[in-house]
Amino acid sequence: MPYGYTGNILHVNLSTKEIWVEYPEENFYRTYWGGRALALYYMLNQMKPHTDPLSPDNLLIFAPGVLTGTPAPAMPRYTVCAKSPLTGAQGEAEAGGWWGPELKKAGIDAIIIKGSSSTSVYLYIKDGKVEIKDATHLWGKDTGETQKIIKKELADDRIRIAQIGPAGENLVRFANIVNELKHFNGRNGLGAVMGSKKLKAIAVRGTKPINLYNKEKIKEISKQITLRIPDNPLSRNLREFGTVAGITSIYKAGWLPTNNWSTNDFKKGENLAEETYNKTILKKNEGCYACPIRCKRVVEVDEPSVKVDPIYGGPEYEAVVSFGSLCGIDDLKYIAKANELCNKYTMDVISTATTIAFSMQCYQEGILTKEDTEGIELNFGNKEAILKIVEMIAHRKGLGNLLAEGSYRAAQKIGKGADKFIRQVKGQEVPMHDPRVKTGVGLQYALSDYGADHMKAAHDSYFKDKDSWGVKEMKGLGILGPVSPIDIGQNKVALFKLLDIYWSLLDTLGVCDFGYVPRSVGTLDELLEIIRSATGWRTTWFELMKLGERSINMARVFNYREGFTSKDDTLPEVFYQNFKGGPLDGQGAINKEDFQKALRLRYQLMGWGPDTGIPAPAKLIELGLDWLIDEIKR
Amino acid sequence: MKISIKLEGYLKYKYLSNILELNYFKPITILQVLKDAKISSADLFFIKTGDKIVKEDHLLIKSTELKLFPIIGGG
Repeated sequence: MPYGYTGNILHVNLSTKEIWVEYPEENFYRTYWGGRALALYYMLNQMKPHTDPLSPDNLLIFAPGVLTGTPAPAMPRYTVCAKSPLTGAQGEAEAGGWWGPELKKAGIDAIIIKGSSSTSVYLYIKDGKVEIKDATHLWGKDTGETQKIIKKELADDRIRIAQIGPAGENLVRFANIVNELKHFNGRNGLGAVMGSKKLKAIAVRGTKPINLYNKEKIKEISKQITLRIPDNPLSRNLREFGTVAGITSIYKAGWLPTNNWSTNDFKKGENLAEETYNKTILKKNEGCYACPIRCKRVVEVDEPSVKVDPIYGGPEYEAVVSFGSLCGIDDLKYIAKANELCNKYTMDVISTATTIAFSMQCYQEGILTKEDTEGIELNFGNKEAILKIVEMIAHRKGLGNLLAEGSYRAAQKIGKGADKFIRQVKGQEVPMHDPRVKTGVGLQYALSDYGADHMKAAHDSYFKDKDSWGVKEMKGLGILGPVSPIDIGQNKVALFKLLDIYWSLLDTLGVCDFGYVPRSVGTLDELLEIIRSATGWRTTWFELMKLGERSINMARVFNYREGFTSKDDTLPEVFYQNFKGGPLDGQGAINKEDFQKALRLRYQLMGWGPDTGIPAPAKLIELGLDWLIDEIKR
Repeated sequence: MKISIKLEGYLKYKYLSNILELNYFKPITILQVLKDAKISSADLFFIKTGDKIVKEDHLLIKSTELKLFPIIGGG
């Protein structure tokens, strides 16, 4: 068994209740490592093409990386993969927290779940021993109640629980999975897959140390990184304000997504700003496993009109902006409440809020009426309405049943031109970062195998100047010069090819990008040395970047098999139009032709067909994926 | 003329100040002001004077306040 691994991959069939453990060879681990790459290996090998995402034949895979649980900064993460019920493509989401490290300590490298139980169940894993337990008494309960009951009935307060709430049970297509009530595998509707399998939770307890090659070296590097955090403005900013840190800059620049992206000029941005957040709702900050950065927020509101329970954490940037300006709302207390409801019921905040903003625009345009909304005045800015609609979506009641399908499907069902107001890629709602000011993010939205997502690469701003952190610190990956955030030429395309691969690598290893360059304080040399010290493998950046590229190509083949083509690599039309209102009024539109050229160049740089975007056989051979060649010939 | 530089967000930690002031006797580009204030362009996402977003080659011809906004990542 290689260092950094337990050597055990757990398989569970919920239809037959069969449980077995696979013991892969070292070469398997060295090829697929963990996280998204390992999960994709099983999805491509054990799932038939065109599987219904909500059927028992879909797989649900929980996969930490080899570094997950390593005592170094920002290494708590694990991947969940399945075919997505929101996009129909490869579905994937990473989460931090404590559950991933606990699974490794319990002696498991990954869990592959197939089938579906006839009654609701939960898994209990303790130091390698696995039980399928009855969960009928938990079905319908929110996440806070469920966690309390499981910890009580297993008589162990140190159990870590990944679970779904009522939205997952009700197959809301953007339901997510939460661990410890506040760390989310947020996107792609993986909670609905869990719900379709009648799997309420996975409770894990591990007491065995993870077998690392050189733990002392890792501790030494961790100490060096931790000591530098106070002097690094990026890390310090994350600690002080969390991910909301940029809101002041964004609203003053005039690119805060507002009223379903119909404008970016939000007049009350100050009410959402990071300093307002800290003054009005913040209770404390917290961190994930072994991470000194502590970027997570915990909020509390205790007023007659609205109460927010701190056990559910607090809204991050995406929630503040999507429930805030995107819905025309400037009251952080109501935004925190909407976030809390999503956390209790397990719904992705970006998709929930964007789908609501879409419905608000439909209402304002007369496409939806008061009859459709059961009397709710669904205007932008109606903060009470938001809370009602979140409840209705989670429980699939009234209009909520339609919106629970996500904005893309809802628009198809509504008709009447509603599709003009959806903001999505491959069926997934776009996050709160405007590609008109960060074109690389736009490329990643379009190319992402699992629909629009802001965590598919570092953002353009870290590479804008020769002294930028990304340019100074990432020369070892071949990033030698700056590129303007709004440039969409060949240098931007080449830069984002590298960043896509690097990010995919982090998602394979279990590393949070908030710990390392270009987003934070840890260097490439330190990260490489941690990987070597964890595994004992004298690996290189060459091997690691090939690993990142391998996972991208596996996802691309999976999607091709499901019917996705280059025609699905798109951006919402709104980004091809100029900003309306504010300091950027009348400028900023991305040139569609330039964007298409950029995509075509990217395909070529990746070794994909320039028109089709399909990986060439030679590329698959180069990456050791020759077993996928038949898939692209179908 | 007096050029006030207001540092927004985490820039105030990095440069250990909220506001800097510099005096000039003739028109000057923002780029030169940043050099004189020892502020790296790499840290800035955009610069505003009044309600306008301006570039570093913008020429300042009268007393004004520059607002500097830090780069923003995702997450």
